[in-house]
Amino acid sequence: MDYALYTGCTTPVIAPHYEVSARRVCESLNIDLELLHAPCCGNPLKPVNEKEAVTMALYVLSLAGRAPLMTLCSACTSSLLEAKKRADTEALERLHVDREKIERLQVKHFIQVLVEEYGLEPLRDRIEIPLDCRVAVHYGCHFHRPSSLYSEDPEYPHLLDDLVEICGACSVPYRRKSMCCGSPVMGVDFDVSVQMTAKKLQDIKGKADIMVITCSGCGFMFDRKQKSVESLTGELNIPVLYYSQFLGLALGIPPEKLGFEINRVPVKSFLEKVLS
Amino acid sequence: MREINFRDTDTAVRDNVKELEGSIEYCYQCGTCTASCPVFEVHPDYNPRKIIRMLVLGMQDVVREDFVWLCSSCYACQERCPQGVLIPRVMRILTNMAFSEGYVPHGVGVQYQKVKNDGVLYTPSSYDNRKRKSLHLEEINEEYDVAEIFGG
Repeated sequence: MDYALYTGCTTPVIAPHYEVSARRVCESLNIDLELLHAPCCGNPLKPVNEKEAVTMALYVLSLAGRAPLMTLCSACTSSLLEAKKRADTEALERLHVDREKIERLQVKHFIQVLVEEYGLEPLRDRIEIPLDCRVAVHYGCHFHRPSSLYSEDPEYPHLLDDLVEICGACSVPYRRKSMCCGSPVMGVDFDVSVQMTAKKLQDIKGKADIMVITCSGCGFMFDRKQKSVESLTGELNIPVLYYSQFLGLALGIPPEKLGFEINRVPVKSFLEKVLS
Repeated sequence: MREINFRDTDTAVRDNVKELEGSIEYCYQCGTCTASCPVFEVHPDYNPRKIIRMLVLGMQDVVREDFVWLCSSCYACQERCPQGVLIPRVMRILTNMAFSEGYVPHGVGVQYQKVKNDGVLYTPSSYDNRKRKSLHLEEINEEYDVAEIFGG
């Protein structure tokens, strides 16, 4: 299995632990990755100029070769998939890329690659250390919505629940499970975004030992901003793991190779609990 | 409650939005969007049902309101809308119009300029690159020719 890894511009800088753990997991599963050197997916341009946002995403797609793209962030995934649908001739001509190439090129989130290419059962057979814990999964909106771009259920997705459970954990139900993390409105009104994050973390508190996510934007809110959220909610102390950090542990990859030192909310006691 | 003066209404904004996204005319004001909205839940100024009503009535000032920028584009409303109105796209069209008239929240404008100038939202510092190195990841030093992307 060969993929071009498109990290986007945010993950490698603010969440290199997500990137390193995804790469270690792919190595261990013999999924070959070649890094695609490419700029931003265009997502931050959307509110201001959606035409430019599509152009930027088309540029990223134009840099790809034949191998399908593997993304790590849900916002990147959605920008690239949307651009495939809305490629305008003017932009394609300026970028010297033909429509057929753009339409043919596959774009898959890392999670989708694991389930669709590797398969849940083969992955279950690879689990070395069952992780006995309660997990609140957060999909991130652009992992499954809008339904015009994705095949997962827009209300009740289950891929990530399945992936967490094959690692031996229990995926717990909670209110607002498919709701937004708040990160898209951070540039407009920080207080609103943090209040949205707070609602979700409060719904999880006491029900789960950790949260598992699939997107660096969500990680920014739930992990990096959890201290700010605590000014509204009181102490939360909920570790937030990107899925490949979680799967990596279950595959028996040593934790020091999964970038845990970059997680903001301390993970030490969680690691001691599941690895003891 | 704000008074609506029908002498001040103008359908130009509505017609422009409709040209790009025709689904707004199917809205029957059931409010499913607002009931589903995680932004409305914490900040009732952002009310998608009301924004669409204002738009359809021809209250063109809606473009200059701060609250139109608050859509988190989570698509919960769109998936639940019984009339198939593509609400996040309508909000995006409105904010695009607002920007072309010179209105943009500071943070959004800064992000936009950063990507337009550098091709990326985050440029790694030497500290970020040291952190990458400690994780055995390659350093990032790419620069992008944004003129090639956007022309001129």
